[in-house]
Amino acid sequence: MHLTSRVTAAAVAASVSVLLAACDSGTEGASSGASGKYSAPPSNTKATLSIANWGNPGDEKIYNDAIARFHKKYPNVQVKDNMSQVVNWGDYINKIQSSIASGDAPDIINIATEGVEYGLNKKLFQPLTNYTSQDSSVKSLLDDVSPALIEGFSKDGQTYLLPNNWNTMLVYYNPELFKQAGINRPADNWTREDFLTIARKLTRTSGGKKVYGFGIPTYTFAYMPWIYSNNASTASADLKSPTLDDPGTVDAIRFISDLVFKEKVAPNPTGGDPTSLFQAGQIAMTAAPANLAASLAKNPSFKYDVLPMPGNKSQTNVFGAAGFGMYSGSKNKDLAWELLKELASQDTQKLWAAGGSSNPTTNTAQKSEAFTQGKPHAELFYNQIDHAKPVAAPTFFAALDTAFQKAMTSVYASGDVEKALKQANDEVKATASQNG
Amino acid sequence: MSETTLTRTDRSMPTARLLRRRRRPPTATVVCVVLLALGTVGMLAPFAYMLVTALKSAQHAYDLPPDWYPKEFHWQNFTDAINGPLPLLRNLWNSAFIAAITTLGMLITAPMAGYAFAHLRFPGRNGLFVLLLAALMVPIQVTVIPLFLIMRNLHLINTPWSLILPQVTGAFGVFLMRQFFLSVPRELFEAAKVDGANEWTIYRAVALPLVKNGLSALGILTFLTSWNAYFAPSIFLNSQDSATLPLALVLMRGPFSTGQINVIMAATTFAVVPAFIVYLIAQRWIIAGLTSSAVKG
Amino acid sequence: MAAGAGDRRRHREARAGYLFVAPSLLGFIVFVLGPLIAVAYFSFTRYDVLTSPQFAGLANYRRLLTDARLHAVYLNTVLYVVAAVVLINGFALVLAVLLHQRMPHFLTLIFRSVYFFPSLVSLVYISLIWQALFQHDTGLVNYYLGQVGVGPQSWLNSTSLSRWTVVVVDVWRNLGLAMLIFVAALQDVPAELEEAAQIDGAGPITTFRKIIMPMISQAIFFNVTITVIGAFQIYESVIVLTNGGPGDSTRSVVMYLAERAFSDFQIGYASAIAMTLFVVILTATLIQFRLRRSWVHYE
Repeated sequence: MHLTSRVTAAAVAASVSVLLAACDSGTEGASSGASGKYSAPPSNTKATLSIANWGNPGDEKIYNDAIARFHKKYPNVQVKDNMSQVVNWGDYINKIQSSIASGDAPDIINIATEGVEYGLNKKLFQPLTNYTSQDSSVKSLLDDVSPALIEGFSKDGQTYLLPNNWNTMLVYYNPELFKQAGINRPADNWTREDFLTIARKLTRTSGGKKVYGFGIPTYTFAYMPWIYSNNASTASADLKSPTLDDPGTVDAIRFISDLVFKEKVAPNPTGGDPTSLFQAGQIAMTAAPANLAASLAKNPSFKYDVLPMPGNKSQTNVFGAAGFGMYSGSKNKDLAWELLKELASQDTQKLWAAGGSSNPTTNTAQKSEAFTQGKPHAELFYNQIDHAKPVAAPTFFAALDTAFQKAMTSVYASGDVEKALKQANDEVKATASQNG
Repeated sequence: MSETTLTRTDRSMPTARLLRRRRRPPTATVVCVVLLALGTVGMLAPFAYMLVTALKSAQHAYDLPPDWYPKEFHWQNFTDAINGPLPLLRNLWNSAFIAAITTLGMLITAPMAGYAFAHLRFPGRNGLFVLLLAALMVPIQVTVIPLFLIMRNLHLINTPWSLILPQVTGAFGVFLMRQFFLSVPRELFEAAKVDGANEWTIYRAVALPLVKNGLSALGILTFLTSWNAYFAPSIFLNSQDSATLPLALVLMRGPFSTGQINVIMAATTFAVVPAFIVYLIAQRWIIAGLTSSAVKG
Repeated sequence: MAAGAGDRRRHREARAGYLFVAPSLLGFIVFVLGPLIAVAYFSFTRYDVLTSPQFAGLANYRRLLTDARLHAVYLNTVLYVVAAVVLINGFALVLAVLLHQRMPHFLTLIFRSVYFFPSLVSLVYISLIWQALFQHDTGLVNYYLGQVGVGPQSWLNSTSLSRWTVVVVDVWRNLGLAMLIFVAALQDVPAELEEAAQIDGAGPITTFRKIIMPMISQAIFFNVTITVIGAFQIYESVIVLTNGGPGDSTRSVVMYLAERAFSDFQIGYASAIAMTLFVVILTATLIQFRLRRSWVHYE
């Protein structure tokens, strides 16, 4: 055993050193435009750029198109587009963090409102203002974008991301089921009481088939309009602490919970899929971003219409935007900027309008025929930005999202809203204070 | 604790036949068959539900009472699944590639070690074998954190190699192959040894061909284990393009996609059918491999 | 001369032995032993992946003692383990005995395949199917319960029931493998022994307890070991069925470990959790080895 134990010791030492080996850091490439004078790199530049990307079905085609346009200018640059599916935002942010930790850092990061604060806190993003102020080609693009979207991607006078697309929540309803229940379309400024009255009328058994008034989507974003319109939030205004146990938040969630337990106008959403039930005609209303419209467009025999989210103390809706940022540690910043411009360009926005699952960010694109055709009340898809707040996303969003989601499963099991949200709030505080 | 000389299934044949020959009261047999048949319904119903739902349209996906045979044939669900939110064909290829390379590696490393532990004498043999066996008590869940860091430092995250490398060797394979080699009479090699053949030649030309059943069993079990894995892939792979099929199916229901039950069941069918085909072709080896690993060790 | 040749042959054989086991040994050291040592080391540190580990003494272990969530997930996991051992092996033994009876060969083949097949299918797919069947309002399980007058059950979101839903899926999927091993063991029981017992006037129950049980104790031991180790690792079925909810009421230790390690990046604390899992599995296995020595029958 002498020999083997020495071999074992050596091999263990070797594997532990692999384990703890520091990642080698490379040299900086051309990055003059990041802080100094900007000029586009020569078109024969050879390099590899990688994108940390995410998206819905079909989105990849839009990005491929942008990458193809970039390739026309820079044929020798290889672009790696790493698409991941977002199950929750915390998870996505962590994946970017671990890819940076693994020495596989992206040059360009597609990130949503949910992750911006965290990314800024981790100094992930290169400020882009020095590029935008010198590169006239993006000026007209940015002038065409809603100020609210750009504001959401800026901090202390610096813009960190170029808007890519955005989303809000709308109520989708089945007009046929409305007609059967004798309900007229309510006004756009309807309240959650109006909503409840309608949901009660819609909930009935017809032809042996149980129809529910509303199907509750269970991702965090989908709860935000109910909370915002109750003048509450999931985090404090300075984004320093969670406010899941705020009376206003608790009240908004209790309203949702009552739809299941007290009013019985919504099926218990645990593990179910409201969009699927909506298409099967088993729920008359649900809430979703534009992606539901995109997927319903494939099934033209199914008729639907949309309404704004019902208001309460206010009509405040939620929005979340996605934008392209540049990784602050990128070795090819100037080149990354050229790709970034293509990814956020008006051409890309036109493609979002035509079939993408999210809203385009430019006025030109969202008012274009391509976006509005086939959509009932198409203006509702984009005019919500006028009375919408960005989804609350503190640096501890990952913990907030996880704890809130977990709390909601408790709510749907017991109906005890106050206890579940209090516990979640404590958990977020505890996790946010622990590191490593 | 005797080192048995034949694998369980081979050895059991005569007694099995003996048992079957014994007369039993026919009523008892009927009761057994009826009980087993009732259980069969419970075992098959979920798969029937999967198949029927996979062929339903979105409008009828939730219709109750349920159908137990397909009344509509919405084949489009399958194309929707494949062209859907995730590159399923790519994910299928990833799963197949990882499982195939892992199996190949295991078929090289495990029989060599199994043969050495069974028939070669060297100092520390028993100690090493016990050490290796102890690995069976260290599931990957315990070591996943350092493994993740190793893969990260080797830049293998998001590549098939992060899953292949830790799985091309393994205590189970060594243990299983040792069992099979032990069942081969030692004299068969001794003759070759006296003839002066070197160990590698004896292993390749004499020993390996004698354990073909063992190799088949090991190959299929390794393949299936890799094919079905979820935990390690969920940690080591995090892009749609590198995902394996089980990972892709879980992601398919993601909250931002509009995963419909009929499409998800179509994707599930797409994933289950290969396992069924493998079972039909290879059930003999699968069963031999699994039962012989339970043999007196 | 002869001794010299024998020596040389022994040397050659030993060298070949080391070379033959080298790849497996290397894999073991790099991917099992090394990581095991590393995880023990990390468990005494604070480590967030981005900055290097800081020694933290027993802080993580102290935190284990006060972490209510960890205690909850351990309780769930212990339930999964106990239920798996009792139910999987109980049902599997009954099925094996039934299947062992005389019946047309094609029936044996069909039954064996039907019960065994789910064990070959990824638990992810099995769980996806059952998740649809267990839906509160649209699932077939509640529909058929309704047909016989039982109200709908919250299979997937009840703090009391959902753990059992996880158990049902686990048992349904894994009993076939245990059954297969029991069948093989039963086939090994010499028929003469059984017959002799019956001639001595022992009833079927006594025969089973006194003759057959000891003869298949090896298989029982094997099955209990694999179900214990398997159930401690339970993960994807919970993710698909309930995602750990409601609250933490179905979450398993492994899910919690993964959350702490790869979602919160609390590598140090997650490593301490991994160490507890290792110690628990090791202890459970060693206890079984002790028990086995006292009651397993050897030929």
